[in-house]
Amino acid sequence: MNMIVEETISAMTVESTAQTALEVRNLGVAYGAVQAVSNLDLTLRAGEAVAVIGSNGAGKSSLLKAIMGLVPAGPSSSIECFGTPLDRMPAHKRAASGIAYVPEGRELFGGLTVMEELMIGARRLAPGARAAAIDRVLQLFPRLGERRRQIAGTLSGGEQQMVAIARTVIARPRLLLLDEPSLGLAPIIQDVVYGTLEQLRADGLPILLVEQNAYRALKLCERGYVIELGHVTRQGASDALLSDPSIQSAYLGT
Amino acid sequence: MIIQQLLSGILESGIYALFAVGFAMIFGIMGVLNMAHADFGMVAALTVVGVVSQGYGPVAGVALAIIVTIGVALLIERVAMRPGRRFKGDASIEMPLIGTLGAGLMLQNGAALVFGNKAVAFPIKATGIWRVGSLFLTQGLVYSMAISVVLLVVLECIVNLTAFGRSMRAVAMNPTAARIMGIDTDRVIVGIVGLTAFLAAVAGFLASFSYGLAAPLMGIPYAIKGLVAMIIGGVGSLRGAMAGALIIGIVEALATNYLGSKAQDMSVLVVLIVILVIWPNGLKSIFRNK
Repeated sequence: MNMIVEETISAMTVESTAQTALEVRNLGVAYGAVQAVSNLDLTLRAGEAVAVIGSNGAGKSSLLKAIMGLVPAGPSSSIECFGTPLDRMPAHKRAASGIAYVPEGRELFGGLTVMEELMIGARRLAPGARAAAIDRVLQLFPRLGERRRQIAGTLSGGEQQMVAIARTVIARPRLLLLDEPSLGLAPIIQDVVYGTLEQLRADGLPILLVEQNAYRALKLCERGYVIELGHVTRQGASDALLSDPSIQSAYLGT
Repeated sequence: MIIQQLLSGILESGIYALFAVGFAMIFGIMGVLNMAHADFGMVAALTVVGVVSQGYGPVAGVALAIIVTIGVALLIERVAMRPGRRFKGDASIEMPLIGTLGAGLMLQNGAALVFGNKAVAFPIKATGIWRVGSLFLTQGLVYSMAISVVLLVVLECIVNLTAFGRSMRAVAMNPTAARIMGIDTDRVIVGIVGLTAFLAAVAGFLASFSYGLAAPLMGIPYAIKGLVAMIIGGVGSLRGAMAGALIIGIVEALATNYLGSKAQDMSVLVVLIVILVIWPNGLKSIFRNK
C-alpha cells in the first residue's frame, strides 16, 4: 500500500519535472511573399532528442533559424524555451540563455584558431571553469586537441563540424539545435559526429536535429517530425516512422 | 638632408597610423567608412583649447576632451551608422557613409561657429627642436611617435590577447556566427567606436601638440592620409594600416626632398595607385589577416 503511494508520488514528480524544453506554436516564417513555414507546432521535452526530416526547401532550416531568432517569426507565432517566451529576444540573448545552434554550413569564424573558437564558446563560463570545459569537449573530440592551434577555417569539413559542435556545447547549453550535421561528410566522419550526439543525448541534453539523412536522424532520436512545404505532415515515434512505407519510399530510399 | 626628411616623415607617420587604424577597425567590423573619424581628432584638440581658455588646466582639458570625443563618436554611431544595419545590400553601406560624411561636416562647421574658421593656438605644445648630431628633431613629433608606438602595441595586445579582442575579431569575421555564439554585436561595435574615438582624440592632441595649432578643418588632411594608409595596408587590416601610415610618411618626405613640398599630397595618391596595381588587396596579403 505504502509502496504504491510512493510510486504514485514519484510518478507524479516525474510528470511535473518532465519539463518542456522547447514549445513551438503556430510558427510562421515568410521571406517576402514566400511562406517558408506556416502553422507549425513542435514540442521537445527535456532530455529528449527529436528529428525533423523533410526534403530540400521544406522549411527545416527556417524552423531552426526562427527558434534562434535569425529570421523573424510570424505575428501569431510563439516559441518558448523551458517556459521562457523567446519572442522579441535577439539571437545573441537566445544563445546566452542556453540555446546552442550548429547551423548548416557550420558558420565558423574563418580566421580564428580552434582554441579561439572554443574560447568564444566558453567565455560565459566562470574564468576558473573554462579550462575544465575545454578539456571536456576535447575529450569529446580528441582530434581537435591535436589541431588546437590551427586556423579552424583550414580544417577538413568533418573537423570543422566538430569545432562547430564543440564550441556550442562547451558552455553546457540547455538545448541543442543542429542543422544538417552530416551534410557533405564522409560516412566514417558522420559516425564520429553521430557518436558524439549520442553521448550528448545520453547526458540528457535535449536535441532538435534537422537532417536530410532521415535514417540516421531517426535512429538517434526517439521521435520525429516530417515537414513538407512548411507544414508538419507526420509525427510520431522514430520506430513507427522508420517502418512507415510512405516515409520509407520518400525519405529512406527503399 | 634626405636623412633629415626621412626621419621627419617617419616621425609624422605615428599620427597617421593612429588615424589609419581607427578607419581600419571601423571598416573591419562594420564594412563601412566612418567619414567623421578624423574630425574626432579636431573635436578633441579644440575641446582642449576651449576648456583651457575657461581657466582649467591642460590635464583637465585633455581628460574632458577624451570624454567629449568618445561621447560625440558614440552619438554619431547611434544616429548615423547603426540605422544602416537595418538595411540590406548597398543601402547598409551608403547610409553610414553619407551619415558620417554629414556628421563630419556638422562637426567642422560647428567648431568653426564656436572657434572661428581659422587656426587657434593649442595650449600645450612641443614645437621646439632637438639637435642630434647634424639632425633636427621636432620635439612634438618625437613624443607623437613614442606615444603612437605605445598605443599601437597596446592595441595589438587588446586585439590579439583579450576576450574583447577575440569578440571583436569574431564579429569582423562572421557577424552571424558571433550572434549565434551569444556575442552582442551592437555592444562590440560600440566598444570599437569608443576605442577608435580615443585613438583619434590622442592623434588630434599629438598633431596640435606638435604644430602648436588646432583648427576646425585640421581633420581633413588626416582623413585623406588615414584612409589612404588603410587602403594601402589592405582594407580592414590593422598591421597593414600601420605599415601604410609609415609608407605615407616616408613617401611624403621623399617627395618633399626631391620634388618640393607642393608634390607632397600628390605623392601619397601616386603611391596609393602604384601599390594597388601591384597588390590589389593592399599590403595585408604580406601580413596575416588581422
